[in-house]
Amino acid sequence: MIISLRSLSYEELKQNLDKDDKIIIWSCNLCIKYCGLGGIEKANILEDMLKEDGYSIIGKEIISESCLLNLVRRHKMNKEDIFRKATAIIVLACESGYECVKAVFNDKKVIKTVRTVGVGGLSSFGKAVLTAPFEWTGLNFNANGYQLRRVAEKLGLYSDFFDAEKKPKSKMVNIIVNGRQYKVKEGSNLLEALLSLGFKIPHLCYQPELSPAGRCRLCLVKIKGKKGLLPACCTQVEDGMEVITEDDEINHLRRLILEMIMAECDWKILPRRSELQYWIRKYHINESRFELSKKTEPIDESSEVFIRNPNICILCGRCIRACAELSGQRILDFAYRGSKTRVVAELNKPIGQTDCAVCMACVDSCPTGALAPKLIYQKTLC
Amino acid sequence: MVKRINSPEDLEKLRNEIIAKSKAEKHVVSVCMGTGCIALGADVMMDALEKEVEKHGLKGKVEIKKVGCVGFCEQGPIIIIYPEEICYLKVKPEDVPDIVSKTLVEGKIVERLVYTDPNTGEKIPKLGEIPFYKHQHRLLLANNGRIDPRSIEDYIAVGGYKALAKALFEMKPEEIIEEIKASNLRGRGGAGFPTGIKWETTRNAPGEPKYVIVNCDEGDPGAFMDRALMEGNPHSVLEGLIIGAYAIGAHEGFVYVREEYPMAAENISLAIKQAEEYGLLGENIMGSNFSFKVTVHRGAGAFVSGESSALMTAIEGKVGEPRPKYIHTAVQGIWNKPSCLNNVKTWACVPLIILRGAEWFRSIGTKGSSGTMIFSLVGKVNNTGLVEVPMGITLRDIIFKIGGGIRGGKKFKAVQTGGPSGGFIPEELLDTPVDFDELRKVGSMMGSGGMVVMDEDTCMVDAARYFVDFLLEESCGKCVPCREGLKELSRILNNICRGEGKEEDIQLIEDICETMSEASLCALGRTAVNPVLTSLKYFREEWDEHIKDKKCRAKVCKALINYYIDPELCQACTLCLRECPVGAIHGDKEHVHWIDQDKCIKCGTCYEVCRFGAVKKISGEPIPPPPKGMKPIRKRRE
Repeated sequence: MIISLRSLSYEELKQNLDKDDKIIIWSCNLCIKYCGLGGIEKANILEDMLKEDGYSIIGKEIISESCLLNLVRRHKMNKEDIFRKATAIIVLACESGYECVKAVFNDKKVIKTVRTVGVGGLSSFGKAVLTAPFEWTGLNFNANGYQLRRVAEKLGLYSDFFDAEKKPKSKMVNIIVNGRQYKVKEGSNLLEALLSLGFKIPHLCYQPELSPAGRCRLCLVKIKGKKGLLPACCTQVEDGMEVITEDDEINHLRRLILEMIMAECDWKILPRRSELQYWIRKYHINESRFELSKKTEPIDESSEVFIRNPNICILCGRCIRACAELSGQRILDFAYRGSKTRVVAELNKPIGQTDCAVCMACVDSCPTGALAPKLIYQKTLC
Repeated sequence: MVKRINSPEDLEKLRNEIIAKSKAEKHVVSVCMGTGCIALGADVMMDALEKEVEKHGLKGKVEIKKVGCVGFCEQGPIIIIYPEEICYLKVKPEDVPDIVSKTLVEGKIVERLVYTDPNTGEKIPKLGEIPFYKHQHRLLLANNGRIDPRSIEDYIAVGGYKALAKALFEMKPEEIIEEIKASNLRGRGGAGFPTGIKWETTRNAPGEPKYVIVNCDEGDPGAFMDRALMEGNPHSVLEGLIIGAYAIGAHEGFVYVREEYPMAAENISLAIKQAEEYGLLGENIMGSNFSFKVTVHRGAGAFVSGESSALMTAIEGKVGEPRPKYIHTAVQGIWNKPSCLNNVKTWACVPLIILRGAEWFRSIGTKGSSGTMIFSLVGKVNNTGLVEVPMGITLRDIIFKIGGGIRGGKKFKAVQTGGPSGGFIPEELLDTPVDFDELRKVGSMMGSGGMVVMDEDTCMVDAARYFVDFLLEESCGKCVPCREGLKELSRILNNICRGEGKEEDIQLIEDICETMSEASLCALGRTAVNPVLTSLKYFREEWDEHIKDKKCRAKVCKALINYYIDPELCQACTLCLRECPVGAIHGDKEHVHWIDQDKCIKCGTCYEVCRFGAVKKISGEPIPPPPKGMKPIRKRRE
């Protein structure tokens, strides 16, 4: 993992921008996210801050890895209209990623926000640490890792995101959840809002970076005045909304849906740290009453970096959306339909024989471990 | 090249010209060219008729018309002779000379071809007096036997495009919407959403352009209402669509026709072409400043594409899968633009309402559901076919008055309304009035108008299994409850039908049904459980018999029945013995036959070939042991 630290203050960033710039915020979804300086969440914060200061943000682009030049080109191609309008791109990516973006968008103002300081990993607390610093930092190799805060102090950089200097005041609305009132950001996704408020709502097909699909139906909630149950992931927060996240009926349905999902994949061989296992444990389900599917499809080991085990796939579609939206490649897609639906790569080829750029966006998004890296499983739990 | 219609007066003039021209001909012979009649040989008969008419030198005096489906498909091919309205049924090419020489030349009726009432034996030559038609109220299908669907002139002659002229030149778009709202027209695709409100939503939704769409993706097994309308009177649908587009403010429309309906697609495409030539479609319609164009989109054959959001994704060129609809498609539909989608029948109602007024339309039907509804009445009834009835008529009237009762004098068991995801309605609820709300109350739904009648030979568990298997094939597989729920339901139901059911299965089925109906993404999953739930609710004893006693009272579930030869009745004709594909039947010419149960594969061949009714199906009771030794036959008393 590449470790970067923020090199610009918010004021310095603003100095680089003009009021009439059409800005796109560009962020990687990998190393920089773990460094706490990028990802959809941070991009949203930056967007709010800049909008409040009167800048015009015309888009946010989340990419799996900006350091892969062809992926950056892909993104440019896929969203040509919006990139044509843009005049400035703020890059939340390591320096290598920044160089790629700059090379592709050579006619635009591309703003670097970080300085890359070396290579590191995740500590046992799930925080990024620097283990192999670059020579210019003057630090030695440290197998246990330097804390980023310390490194930042030493090098005169920032280890936290812009918001530490200035809290954005985006427009808030009131919602009532299970009888209590809360303030959440206007127009935000209901599931995201509820999760950020600390409600443990099960979800398998939702991922903040990706467009919601409403496939798994686990995040169903009751909303006063609306007919039936609604998936929180496909609902927008409205002022005065009254939400019930849990009652006997909802829990009963969730357990049944989980049982169905368990029957669909061979849940007994799921990795313990997978999201699905987490929710199964959370809902105290010991056994699915449904017949376990006896899928015996071959495991695809053709990729050099990850394996694909269709037998524990639950068809949540996250890898497919990640491949389309984060990497921009569209290698993966669904094939067939109904109970025969399955995920295939290109025209049902082994993944190693496709144009896969090995950006790991799909692997990172898989909630069951059907897509798993061959070497280390570094993903943190939800 | 035809002359473009540039004003309502032009249209009126054209109509008068067409009527004046057709008056010269005395007789009009309408030959039903619906898909059903063609399958029964209407096209061959048509050729014979043309030749015969020419032979008698009647060309010019008699006009032969190929008309769309007239609905009485059971009795096809059908010929109707106007102006007398004589209806000939089951006409074969060899009947044609009689029809021409007697009816067309001498004006007499060919008795053997007219409808005979099965109860009284009375001959009924007039179309309107046949019980099948007498109890119907034909509005949408009224012109199906009168006009050639491939001729716009025919449609104009019966008053077509008059409503469009009225809408364009005498009404404001808002007034049209108000009129539709006042008429209480509800979506005929099955959900019964008020059409006027839908139109208004689309009209007021932000975003341009707006789209209007005709949903002719009728995938229900045994349903063909939309097809008949699209094939038989495409201009009425088109006229409704143009009026709707004008009211909504759309300038582009789509007609989504499923690939399995080639003739419907052909006829509507032709209708669009003809309307364009006359200036009734395209730029500046009828000289007004409203422009509108229509494209026909042929579906790729997925049942779920009939769901509005799935249909729209299919038109966009993507896989036909429904998407979460928390913003209505009326606001964000095709390409996220406001799109108004209605069923074929809904669009076809529009010209009638505009022309005759909301008050008139509301006077037909019930308070909650006005107008008429077309059902395709199929299954074990005497008269299968298309039935158009006012809302609020009871199921009993449809099945027994119009449908003529159950075939073969058997006992009625259940009727399924609303396609594969409709519920089964038992005999005690037959007096339920047919409208959107009442049917929902009894656990079924209006659907798009399929009506399958089942008699005592239908096993309700097996019927539920059949529809679950159908929906399992057709589910898009997007959301978990529908994909996995149907898979599990299918497995459990198949087990029960195989005699491997367990008592706890019922609880599991109820749990799955609850999950599916509450949590599924689209209406397919939410309603897929209706057949199972209503079967469980109204025919619970059959389920218990299947599970506990391993008995199928209708003797349908193969695993639960046995074939057995009654030694008292067997005449030792050796027919079953010879026909049995596995050699399970023993006996000879002198001796009673018996079936070796271990060998028998229950194919039912012996049951079908036996002329003495000696082969019996038994279920849930012990099989009498085979006769000891060779038992001589007991000859039937003459």
